[in-house]
Amino acid sequence: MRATIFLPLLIGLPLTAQTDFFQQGLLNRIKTSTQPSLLIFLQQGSNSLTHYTKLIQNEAVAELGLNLVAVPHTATINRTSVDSGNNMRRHFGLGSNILWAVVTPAEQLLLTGTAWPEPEEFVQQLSGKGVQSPASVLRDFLKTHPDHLDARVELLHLQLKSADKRTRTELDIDPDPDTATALTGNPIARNRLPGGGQSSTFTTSIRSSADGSSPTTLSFPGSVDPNAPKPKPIPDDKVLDTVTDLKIWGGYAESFDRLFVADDWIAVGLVFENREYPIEVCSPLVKNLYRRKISQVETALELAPVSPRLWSIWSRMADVVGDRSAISVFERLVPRPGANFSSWPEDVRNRLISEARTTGKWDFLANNLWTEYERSSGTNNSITSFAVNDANRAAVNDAARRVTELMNSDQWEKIIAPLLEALIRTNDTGRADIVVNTLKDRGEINIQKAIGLANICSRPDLAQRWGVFISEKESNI
Amino acid sequence: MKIPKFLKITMLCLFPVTLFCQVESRVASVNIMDVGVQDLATLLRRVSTNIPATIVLLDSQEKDWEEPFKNILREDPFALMNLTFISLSTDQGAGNELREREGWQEKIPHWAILSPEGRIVAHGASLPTSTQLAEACYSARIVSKAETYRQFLREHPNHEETRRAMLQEMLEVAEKRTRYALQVPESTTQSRIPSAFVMGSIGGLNSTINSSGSGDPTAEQIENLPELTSEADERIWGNYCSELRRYLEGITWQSSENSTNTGISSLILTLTRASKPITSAWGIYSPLTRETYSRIASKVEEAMTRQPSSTTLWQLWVSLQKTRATRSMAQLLADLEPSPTVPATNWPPESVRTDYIRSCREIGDWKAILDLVEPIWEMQKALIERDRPAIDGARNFSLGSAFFNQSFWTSSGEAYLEALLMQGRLTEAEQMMRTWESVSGWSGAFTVAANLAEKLGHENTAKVWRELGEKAPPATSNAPVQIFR
Repeated sequence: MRATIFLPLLIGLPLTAQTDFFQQGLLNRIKTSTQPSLLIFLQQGSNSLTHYTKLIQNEAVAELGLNLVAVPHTATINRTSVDSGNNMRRHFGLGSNILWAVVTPAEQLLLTGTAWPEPEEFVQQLSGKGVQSPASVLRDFLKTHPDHLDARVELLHLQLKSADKRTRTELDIDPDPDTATALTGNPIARNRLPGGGQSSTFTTSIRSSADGSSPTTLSFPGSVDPNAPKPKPIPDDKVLDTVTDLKIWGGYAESFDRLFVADDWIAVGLVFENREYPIEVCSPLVKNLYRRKISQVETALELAPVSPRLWSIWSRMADVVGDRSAISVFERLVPRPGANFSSWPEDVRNRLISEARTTGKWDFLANNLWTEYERSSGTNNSITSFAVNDANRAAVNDAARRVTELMNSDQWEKIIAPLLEALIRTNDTGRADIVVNTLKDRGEINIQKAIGLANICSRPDLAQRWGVFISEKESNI
Repeated sequence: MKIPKFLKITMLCLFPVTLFCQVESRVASVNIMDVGVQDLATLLRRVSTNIPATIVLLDSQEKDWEEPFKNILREDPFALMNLTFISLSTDQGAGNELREREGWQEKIPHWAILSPEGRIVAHGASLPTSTQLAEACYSARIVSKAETYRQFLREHPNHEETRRAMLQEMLEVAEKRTRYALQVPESTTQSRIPSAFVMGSIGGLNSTINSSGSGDPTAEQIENLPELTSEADERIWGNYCSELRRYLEGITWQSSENSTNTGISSLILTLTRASKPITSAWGIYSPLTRETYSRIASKVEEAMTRQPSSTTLWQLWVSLQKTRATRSMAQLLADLEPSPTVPATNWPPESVRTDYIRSCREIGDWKAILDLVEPIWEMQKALIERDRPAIDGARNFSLGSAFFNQSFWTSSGEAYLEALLMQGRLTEAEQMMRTWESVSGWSGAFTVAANLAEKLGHENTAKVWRELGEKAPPATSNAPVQIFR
């Protein structure tokens, strides 16, 4: 559970600061939040974390976007133990038996409790005090400002997040590790939103010093933690029925559709978080919507073929629609003068390579990756002849060094292997020889890999020819 | 060298040829690739990334040609080619290898234009004129990048990515020609060249125009340099302005039948990789450009009413503000309503404030800084005063330090103080630093303040602030200092 990983950090970081500075840090977090803060007074030796986790896991509580402030029982500052829990209680005039409190940014007490509340009851009481979720605040705002794009996009993202969670609950799908952040913190207040062209990655900041000058940002998404669970594919049979689909995804679909009516989707620089398995596949409603709208994105790509944003939107929609070919779109596009395969965003190149390998479009791969290979290894000018003819030692070394850099930067899998495979399968042995010839000084392992590829492609003749390079090397030694 | 008549006519069509460019002190920048090139292979590799071509100078030991040659490159019509220039001294192996390969005489300077394939398309052993170089390019069918884009756009008029690339290229050339026309010293512009070349790509070269403001005209230059004459303005900025206007006003593309494209959407589309702006602070010397930018500014401000937190729009607005094409930020903010979920403390967004203040300092718009920072300063000061009694009688710095810290000082505080001093509000500046003393734990501000006061001739005040800085507890980081009394 991410919250349990996060909480000790939340508590631990400020301990390095001075006593009152620590309390001021907490108070500043309360004051600078747009939403009320939920103070959790952690008890020594008790299982406060379980209650805390249960409360914030609740969807309705999560949607409120409360600013969570965990107050440790004691804090050790410069080897001195400080009664931080009671100090904080005193500040708010609370008794020592209070376990939690909700306070406004102006430090006005809204709710307190001596026992952990049930989530539903908690939400109800807050509602009585006029505390609204950000989504609800945005909906109200949009009634009077229907054209406010920032607010519309913020709402769209909240709707996507909420529908994601509800769909997973409804269809019993494991939570996507990358969306775990939705459970905690106040996304709206702390996260940068995509309307301004910024990342939509949801992160929560913890200030390592209360002056706010050097915040330590801890990201909830699994990408930060290498041991975090990886997202799992969504089984094909996980599809919502029409009524539930409309109930869960109706709001999102309406907001999304509206953005596409007047090209507002371009103006806002709509950006999707990168998802290996987008949850929208479970919604026939959204799937149909994406199918209808994706052609608009393709039209836009014709005008700006290498735009990472446009490709990001296209990729997400194509993953949901399911039968769209990136290569078909790519081949429709006319690049600007001077652009080459490497001008396209890396994600797009990887997608194109993957699709070409899966569908056996070897000519496509051979042509485009050769350009990339030439560019990366510098073999696209006179150096080519130097390198291949071995007439200029410095040039050969230079080219070989750059090939090594390619290999070192994990490009064997990305460029060399698919290129070599494509050259072998298209029977372009001349260029395959050039690639292997440049590899030969870079260690036996690379030649072995090339030989392996030749064997996989049923070309023992090439495997035998390249095997000579290893013999040559051994005899040189 | 006599130029055939038909070539002269063609040149006139191809380039807006000028007559004015012979100024005494020739001082604008060219794309200089002044890095070690040890061998021919390295040179050819570098050349291969330069489109449409590279001009190389093989100089003598004494570097007889370097300066005059650079000046020729800055002159029209060759300046319009905007080629990358590589100067090779005799201690760089590449030059010697090239001489040897081509059989050129040693010790005598030689120039050559190389295609990306490494082919020598023109060369000479005498100092050429700008026109001769341009003619050599023309004969070798080498056209400028801008012209290549223009030709492409005739066939693909809606290709916005290319139009943006063309605008960026035209802008880069216009900036250089403006600096040359105004005789701006090389040192002002040279600083942003090396980092671009580290990238070693065409993109890198183009990124010499950046949004950080490092190569923008200084406040002093803005005050002292004259604006371009209408003839020079039209010649240098005319094409760029027409393209920009066409870009904004002539956009007909719609992604669907229902689309109601206002122009700004397409602008945003093309700004998705906003590292290369399509506007420049150097436009301030061009009445034509200022007028064009004013039109853009009104469109941008209109778009901001729907997207008040859009970083892209704010970046564009700040860049336009450098040419004084916009309203004041206070006027703009009065028309903007952020989303209700945007914290009051982050409005306008902090990054925007920083960019705006930097921009105002560059152009010396002190009133604009005061208009923006003063209310924020007063609001935070009041907040601190309000919260002070809550700390059980302890005089506490940390709350103030949460706001009045080194970060605030760097982004806004220093500029605020400078603005007060520049506006002759010395008493308020002193009051500001007294407040800083009472609420901030970062004493480094006093040293900066003292230096600033000294520079502006307030010796006594500088002395007081320096003493305050020495008295205050040392603070070398952002960590606030807490004092109990």
